[in-house]
Amino acid sequence: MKKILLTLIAISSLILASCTTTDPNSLKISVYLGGYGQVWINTLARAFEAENPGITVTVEANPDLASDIPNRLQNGSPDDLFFSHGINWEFLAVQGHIEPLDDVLQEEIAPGVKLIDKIDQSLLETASFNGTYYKLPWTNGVGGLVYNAKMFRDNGWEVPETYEDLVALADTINEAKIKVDPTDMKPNAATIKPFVWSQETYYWDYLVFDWWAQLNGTEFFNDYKKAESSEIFNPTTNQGHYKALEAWTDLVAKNPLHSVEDSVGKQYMAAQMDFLNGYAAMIPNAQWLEMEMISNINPDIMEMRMMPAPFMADAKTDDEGNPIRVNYTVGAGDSIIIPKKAPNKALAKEFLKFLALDSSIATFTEKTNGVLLAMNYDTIDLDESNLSEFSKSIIEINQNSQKFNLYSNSLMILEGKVGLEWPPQNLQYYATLFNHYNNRDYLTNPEAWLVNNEYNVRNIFVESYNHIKDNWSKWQSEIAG
Amino acid sequence: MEKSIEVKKKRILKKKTKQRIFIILMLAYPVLQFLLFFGYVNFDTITLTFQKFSWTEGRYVYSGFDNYIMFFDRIFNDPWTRRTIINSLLYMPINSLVILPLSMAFSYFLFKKVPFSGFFRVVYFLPSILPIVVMTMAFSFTFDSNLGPVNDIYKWFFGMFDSNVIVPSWFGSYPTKQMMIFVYGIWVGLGFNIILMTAAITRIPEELMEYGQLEGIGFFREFTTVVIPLIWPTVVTTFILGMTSVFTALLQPLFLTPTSGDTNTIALAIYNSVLQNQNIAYMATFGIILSIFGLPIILLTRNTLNKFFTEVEY
Repeated sequence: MKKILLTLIAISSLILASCTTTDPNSLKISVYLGGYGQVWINTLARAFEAENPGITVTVEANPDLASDIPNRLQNGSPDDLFFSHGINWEFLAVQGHIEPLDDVLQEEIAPGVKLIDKIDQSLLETASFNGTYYKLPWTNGVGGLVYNAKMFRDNGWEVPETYEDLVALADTINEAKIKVDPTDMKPNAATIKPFVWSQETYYWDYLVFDWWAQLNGTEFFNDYKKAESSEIFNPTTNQGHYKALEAWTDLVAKNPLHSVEDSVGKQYMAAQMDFLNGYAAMIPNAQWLEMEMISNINPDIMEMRMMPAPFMADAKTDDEGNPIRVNYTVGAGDSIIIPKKAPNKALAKEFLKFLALDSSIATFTEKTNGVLLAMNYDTIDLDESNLSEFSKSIIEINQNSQKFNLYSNSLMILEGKVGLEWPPQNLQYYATLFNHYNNRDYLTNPEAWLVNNEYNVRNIFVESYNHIKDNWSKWQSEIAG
Repeated sequence: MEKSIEVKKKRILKKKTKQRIFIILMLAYPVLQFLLFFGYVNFDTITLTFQKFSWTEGRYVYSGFDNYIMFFDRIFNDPWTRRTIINSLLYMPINSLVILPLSMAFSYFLFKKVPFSGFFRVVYFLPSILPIVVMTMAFSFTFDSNLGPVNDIYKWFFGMFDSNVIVPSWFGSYPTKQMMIFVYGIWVGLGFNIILMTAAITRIPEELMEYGQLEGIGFFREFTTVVIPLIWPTVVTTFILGMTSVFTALLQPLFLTPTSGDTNTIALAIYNSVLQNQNIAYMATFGIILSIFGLPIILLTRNTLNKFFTEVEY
């Protein structure tokens, strides 16, 4: 019995010892494995090892990382660095589970250049809470309408510059009735539609939010994101939001035949496959689409590009009277964090500085097919031969647009009382509007049906505003300081 | 003599001590597990319902009945909370009144070895052993406009009566998508229940079946007067498990309608809350209140169902 007990104690001690001992020369980086793949982090890890002889970097690329991070932060884990979306980092930071980064942000990464200087200034605000920096913003994403350049070229379609151009283009594509499979002789053979999309209707946000910012100007969001009063949701002052949704309604919802059948109910992967297979000319999506679907792309029928958001007629203009190009930062909440209980915080901070070097930034973009880090690209020399045409279109939009995002660290937002994207419940209205018009009576006789059934989009926002106004004080009192 | 009695007593005492140690050791694990995973977890959950997160202190602080007040406020004023509860409640009749009777009937047919019963056994069981991610994807792709056959069949059939036929948006409009989730639940749920029912029916003594056949009873009477009474404890257990799905329905809406708020369920709301680390205390209150209402209903149902037939040993 004694022997058994002694053996058990010895094994337990070994396990405990292995858990607590940390190797000062090893760094563990855990990365959310999604549309960006993992080639970029493996390449950077090897480069970091080469630059720091004796250091070993292990990488965990995990598609389920986001849901695991809170537990790992709270209970401790071998992770030194996390790259992920969906980290509710403010909640974890105030509990002391995330290492503050103020010190490393002030360190120089090159003569006269501090780490903080290399961070994209439009995203720096998304990294601090209560005056302390707890994260580095990860990516500076681009979303919008992705189109099939080959299909456009073959049919003589131009990339629309204005909203009116886009409406006309959608009509042209739909009326052309071009068969997806020219050999299909069935009378109901599928024809190319302007759009395909999926149940994940928030992908439309990437276009609609650009229109909202075109109409309101990006400065509007500085106050909007503070969420200090219910007045920010007043449609009389915030007209861009409902007008953008109205524009979408006129373009998509009121033309159910402009979308591939039952787009509103499709799984997102099925919608993306439809786009790749030529069922539609355009899809609302983001920078990761090419990387995500790379093994399914047939270059004979698909040349993927992202188009800048077509300009609304009332878009804000610059001093020369030209409409200002804007772009909503997709994934502004994605984060790079160091756990408070990380075994090797110093080395993790060294990696952050390494990540901000021009060579690392270029590697990231080249290995992710055009995804931009949330860093300053002014001094970056990208090797164009390593970039696809889709990547180039993404970079072009990113570098020639005023960027804006909807990240807020207001407690009303963090506690989920209201949503800045679609208040009050953060619901998107695309499906509701599309289903409203997608009916037999409207399709057979739209004019007659619209007389009594026209959907007043502005009313959605008026009702929403009234609801928020009525509940604002109550919601504030529900938050415990 | 006295010495030998003393030795015997000591031996008995030693044996009893050993027995006690054995019993204690055997009981220690389940008792500890109960205390930890039931006692502690529930105590912690109940405690959490009287707290809310303080952003200034970085911890949960006492908040009295605020979460309970918030819950009842939302029941009356928030249509989405009501819809979440209604959606969840609908899983009960689907599981207990649709899937269960169907699986009882199918199990009986399989037991009677109807033609192709082997084939049907595979058809019913297959969805139960494949991962739910694969099953939900296969199911939704079946109804996809370009990947699946259903829309074409629908258009062909209804096109005979209406040239302007529009295919419903199976997963894009409410309540159709909620119904589709239930259809999926029936398809997949049958297999699991059939396994339980078939196991119960197979245990019925052959002599009883033969006696009934000698008396000249048909399939229907055999099913209703012999099979059902004898497998009744399994039926009651499955019925109760079906009722608890009100609190556990999560994966079907999560995978079939990933971003849809209107097919939300109680379990999905709690799951999302935990995933986002948001409103955990409120969701704990949500769960506790619904358990307080649900538990007596489930116990009452079980007691009522147990009175239908006398349990017999065989």
